[in-house]
Amino acid sequence: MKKLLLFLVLIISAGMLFAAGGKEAEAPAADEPIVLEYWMWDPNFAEQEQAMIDEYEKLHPNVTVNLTALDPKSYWTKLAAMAASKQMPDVFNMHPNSVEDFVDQGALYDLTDMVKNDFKKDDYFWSVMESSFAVNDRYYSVPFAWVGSLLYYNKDMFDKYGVEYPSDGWGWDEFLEKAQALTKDLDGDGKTDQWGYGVFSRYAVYDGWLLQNDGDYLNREKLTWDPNDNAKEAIEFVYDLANKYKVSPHPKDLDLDKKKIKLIFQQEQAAMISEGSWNIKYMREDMEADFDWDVAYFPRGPHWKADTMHAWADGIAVPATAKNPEAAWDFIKYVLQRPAADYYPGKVPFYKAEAYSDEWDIFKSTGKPPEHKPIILAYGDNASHFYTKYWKFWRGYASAEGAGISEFIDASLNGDMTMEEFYVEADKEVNKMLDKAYR
Amino acid sequence: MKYKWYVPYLFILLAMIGLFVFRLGPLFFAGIMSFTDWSMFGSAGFVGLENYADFLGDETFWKIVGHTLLFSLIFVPSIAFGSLILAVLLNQGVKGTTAFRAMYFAPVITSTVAVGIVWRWIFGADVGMINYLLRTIGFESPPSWLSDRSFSLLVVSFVFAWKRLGYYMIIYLAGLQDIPKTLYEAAKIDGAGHFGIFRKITLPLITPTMFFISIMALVDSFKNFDIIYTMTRGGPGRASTTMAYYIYQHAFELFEMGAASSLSMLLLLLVGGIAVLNFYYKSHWVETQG
Repeated sequence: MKKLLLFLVLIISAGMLFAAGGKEAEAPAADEPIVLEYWMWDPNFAEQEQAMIDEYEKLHPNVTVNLTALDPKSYWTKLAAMAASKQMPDVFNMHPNSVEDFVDQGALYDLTDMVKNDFKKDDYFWSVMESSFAVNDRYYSVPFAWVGSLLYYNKDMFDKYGVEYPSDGWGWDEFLEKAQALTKDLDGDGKTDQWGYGVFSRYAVYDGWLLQNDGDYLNREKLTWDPNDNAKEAIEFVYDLANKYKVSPHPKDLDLDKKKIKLIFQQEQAAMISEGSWNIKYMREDMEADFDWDVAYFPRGPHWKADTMHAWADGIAVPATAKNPEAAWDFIKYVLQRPAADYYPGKVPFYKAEAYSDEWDIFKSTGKPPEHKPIILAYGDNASHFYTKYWKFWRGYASAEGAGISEFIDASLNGDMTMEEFYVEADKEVNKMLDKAYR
Repeated sequence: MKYKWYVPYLFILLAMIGLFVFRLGPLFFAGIMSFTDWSMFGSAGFVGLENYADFLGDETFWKIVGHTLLFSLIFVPSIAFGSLILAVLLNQGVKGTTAFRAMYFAPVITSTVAVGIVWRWIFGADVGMINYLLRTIGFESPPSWLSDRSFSLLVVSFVFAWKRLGYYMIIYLAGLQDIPKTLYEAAKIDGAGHFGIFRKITLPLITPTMFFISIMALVDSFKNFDIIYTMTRGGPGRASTTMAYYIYQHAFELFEMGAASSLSMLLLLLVGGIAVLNFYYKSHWVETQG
């Protein structure tokens, strides 16, 4: 028995010495075989991603990139589990609503020096980088694409009722006028069948209203929920759309959620909706709208200062425990240069040369809607959002999509809660969460 | 035949390994983690009773406990009586019994996600089948079943009970087979009717099975994550958020494993407490043969 124990101790000690020696090892030579594990969150794009990897491997014969494409629902759980066991992939997708949590845990490699050495700010949509991935003035991820919220409108419906398309720099009055002209009781039963605008609490549907009125939910210094007057003005305007002007349905009457909002547009129950720019793909390909449609930006509020897009990035990051961060960084730079044709139609390449190419502006090259997709680019230098720790809970996202302020926004749009009650409840609920998050 | 003292233990070794590795081990680990601020990424720091104090002093937590209990309160009686009625009907030996058994059991083996999606459509506010029927018979403004905080939890617990009914029906059927036929024959000779036979013979003698089912259904009722995720995502607001769902949110959205573990421990206490009460009152309503 003693011999067995001695043998085990020797084996373990030898293993530990070997492991310790490994840590001291120098970075691999240029032609030494390198294997990079790469995780991404979109299995639909696995084929394109693999094709891009194949090209990269041709250029770098000593590098093998193993792609793992996970469903978004399981992506974060698995990534967190790998982080817990210090076995994160060498390169992986990162989102701004999670980056702060990962940084807090020391899980991400600080890419600041690499970014500063290798990137010219003017070549990229830098405001997206700053707003999405800068934590305490350091960069922990790099966007490969970004998206923002847009207003979608049914051109055929506008034409049918003689309503002019949204003008450049349109404001709330113009928006309301059009929404009223497009809200109709088609069968004469006294009930609205066609709505001017569909809206509910989802961040991508709703938050653009605040930003176009220079509003903010948060006191950024104290990191508390403290909507400024401009934010309140926007919240109350949207409330009025459903409850006073009645150009928007009560969300509960149509069970509005992230799927249904697209359906009511696609089925011509609403002439306008707002949603993320990635839904251009849905409208154009997944459930092709059989009418002509286009996109505009959220109308400007009375206190508008600058066109600000509710935008955020899809990023790519390296773990703090990276064995070969240089190789990972080299691969990331290659990913960022991929051609615009490889992107979802509503996602914008971080690299401006690709974003401004004809390949990305499909209307110009193929005539497919939306004609005004390039308006997204104009707002790319002024991106903003409300991500904080606990954002998923206080804003209402993913498995908590109806919680946080989403609960109160929907209740108010449904007419089940007054604006006064909204502010009292939101203050109580959101500040409780933010207090816990930053305690 | 003689055998070494350890031989019986070898036979249960595999089961014991499974029990310790997959059940008791994680339970013990969660108990320890509930006193830490472990977040999956880094090391766990001891925080004493802070997680428990946070939840117990939080109004939202108590609302969620209330939702959890209400869910069970709808689910367990629906199962205990609904599946008994089905089992009794299918135990009459009428033609096509096997086909009916298979039909009632089908939802049990159907994916919860599929069940959730179909029922979500059925309960849809504007295009749902139920509201279509209600409008047809004159209800101008039928409820938004899943988007209205007054209904969402009721609907989800009803759907979950519907899905699990067939499973408990099979257990009742086994229990019904155990009731001696002679008792029924004697009752018929004495002139008892169908309802009398059910009330005086079937019901008392099925109570041990009913007790078992009520315990199993109680435990089942706390495992409601899938159906809630599919149908309501805990909403509107937190109107249909239960403890299981809240644990998931803390563990896999916020990655607060320490907090999620303390919630799990509180859930364990809740389930355990109710089960103990049920055992305590068992002698008052469970009758045994013999």
